[in-house]
Order: sequence, then C-alpha cells, then structure tokens
Amino acid sequence: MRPLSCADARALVDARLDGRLPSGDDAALRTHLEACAPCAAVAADARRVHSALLALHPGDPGPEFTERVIAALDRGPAPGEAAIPAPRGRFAAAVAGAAATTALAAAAVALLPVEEAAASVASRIPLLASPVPALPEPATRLLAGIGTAVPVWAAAAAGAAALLGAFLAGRSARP
Amino acid sequence: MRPMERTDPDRETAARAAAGDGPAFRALVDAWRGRVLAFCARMTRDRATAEDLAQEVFLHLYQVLRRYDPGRPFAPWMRRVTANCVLNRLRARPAATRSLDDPDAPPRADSRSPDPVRAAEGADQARAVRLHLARLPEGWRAVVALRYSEGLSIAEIASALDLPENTVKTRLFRAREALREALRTEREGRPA
Repeated sequence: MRPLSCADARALVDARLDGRLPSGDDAALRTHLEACAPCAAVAADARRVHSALLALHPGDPGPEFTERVIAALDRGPAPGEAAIPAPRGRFAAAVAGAAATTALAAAAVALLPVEEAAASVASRIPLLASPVPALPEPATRLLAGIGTAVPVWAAAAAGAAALLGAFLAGRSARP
Repeated sequence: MRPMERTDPDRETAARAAAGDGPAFRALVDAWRGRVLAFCARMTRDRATAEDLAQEVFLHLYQVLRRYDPGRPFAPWMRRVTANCVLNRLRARPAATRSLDDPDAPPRADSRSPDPVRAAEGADQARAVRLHLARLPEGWRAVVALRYSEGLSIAEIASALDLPENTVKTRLFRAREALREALRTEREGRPA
C-alpha cells in the first residue's frame, strides 16, 4: 500500500464527504489518519463542517409560502418593490409583432395614393378623423414625389425592425 | 439519477403551468418551495432574506416557464433557473443588504442529539458555519448550497451552474477548507 502525503490525505478526506473516495484508498487514508495527528484533526473538523452544513436546512416553508407567491403574482410589483423583469420572450414577441405591423402598414401606405393614405391614417386616429382638407396643388405634387420613395424606406425600416425582433426572440430561448 | 427524477412528475405539471394553468403553477410552487428555500438559506444569512429570495425565484419562474422544453427533465432546468436568479439578485443588491449578518440569531440545535452539551456545541458550530459561509464568494456558496440543499452530485451541480466538474470539485474543496479553518480559528481563539 502506497503511503499518502498529507496533501493527498486531505484531498481524500474531502472526497470521502461526498462519497467520492475510491475504495482502494480507504485503507490508506485510515492508516494515514491513525499516524498523523494534524490530518486526523483536519478530518474531524471536516466532519463537523459537513454536519453543520447539513443542519442548516430550513425545512418546508409551508403552504402559506405558496399563498404569498400567488398573491404577489396577482398584485404585481408594489410601489417601491423591485419590478418583475419583463420577460424577454414577450418583449421580443412584441417587437416582432410591431415589426410585422410596420411592414404591413408601410406596404399598404406605399400602395395607396398619397391622399387616400392620409385619409386612411386619419380615419384610424380619432383626433384626426375629421375630413382631411384638400392639399394645395404644389403640396400634392411634392407628396406624390415622396410617395414613389416610400416603398424603399418603408421596406428598409420594416426589415431592420424584423431583424431586431428575430434577434431578441432568439436570445429569449435561454432560461 | 434520483428516483424522483426517473418519473419526473413535474415535467407535465410544468408544461400545463407554462400553458397558463394556474393550479398547475401552484402545484409546482408546492413541490419546489422546500428545495428552493433550502438553496436560498445557504446563500443568505437569515431566513427572512432567504424566503424573500425564494419568492423572487418563483416570480421569475412564472416569467420564464414558457421557455421550458417539456421534452427535457424539469429538475435540472429548474435548478438552473433558481441558481441564475439567486446569483443575479445577490449581485444586483447593494453590499449592505447582501450582508445581513445575524450572528446572534438563535441557531437550531441538533434535535437528534440527546446530549445537551453536544447539542449546544453543534448549535455553536452551525452558527459559526452559517456566519462564515455567508462570507465566501457567491460562486463557492452556490456550489455548497446545491450540494447540501439537495445532496446533488458533482455532475448535477456542474449542470445546474453550467461549470466544468473540476471547477465544482475545486470550489467545494476550497469552501469546506475555508469553513474548517474558520471553525478552527474560532475554537482556538475562544477562552477555555
């Protein structure tokens, strides 16, 4: 049987606490501890620490704990309380949804004549739902010019938003 | 593998809770509150803080549960969620609130010991260990907490904390060595 050094013996004392002591080393460790008082003291202290760590068990907090959790979920974060962080998945889904909405809206706007598009947007916003005053002739020409550029920037904006949404949705896959 | 994990009854419960089933979520809290509190109790210095932290874990679980893949065992995923949440919360707290030192709190004597002197010694040791445990680095404490709250193996701890097994072994060894030294110093400094 190979004699153990003190460092080896102390590593084995630690492994023994977790049931990781190789069976062949058990006898060597016992022999070492019988002959080496400092290592025997270390082994005794290691057992005390092990027992104390086991004794720190708080027990079951009981059904009232469950009730507290459910109540906290029902009421949401109280004023001054740390807010429950927004779930990344839902945030990403919201961004992806917004991106899709933007793309659809941009496509719809790009396909509509400018005056119809203005009326369409106004009709969806109560404060703007009053009749849209006719634009003076030069303004109509200017907007018609911009209208031809709309598909380009709208597609670029929608694409960027969709990429951001996809990126955030991908990040949310981890716990 | 533990017997409980062979059947993994929480897997189906978690899937139902993730789909919005309230009673299923309540059942998950019932099933895991003891284990989560046991972990939190070893990461903090007093029970009230541990219970607050455990509650935060379940609120966080509610937020992330829909990311759980029911095709995988629930317990390792839940332990990872717990450890990540607790470590993030502790790191985010100001140092003053992180160190809720309560060395005068009455320790729980080991009720299994019939000898009152030994029971008192055990209680002293438990108090000293709790005090010194809270002074260890959070990463070491997390390893100790998983080892002693659920009796997890090195491989299971490594999986829960996303660490190599050798790192887990080293942290466990160093943490127990530090606690052992702290106990020895305390004993030698105490008047006979």
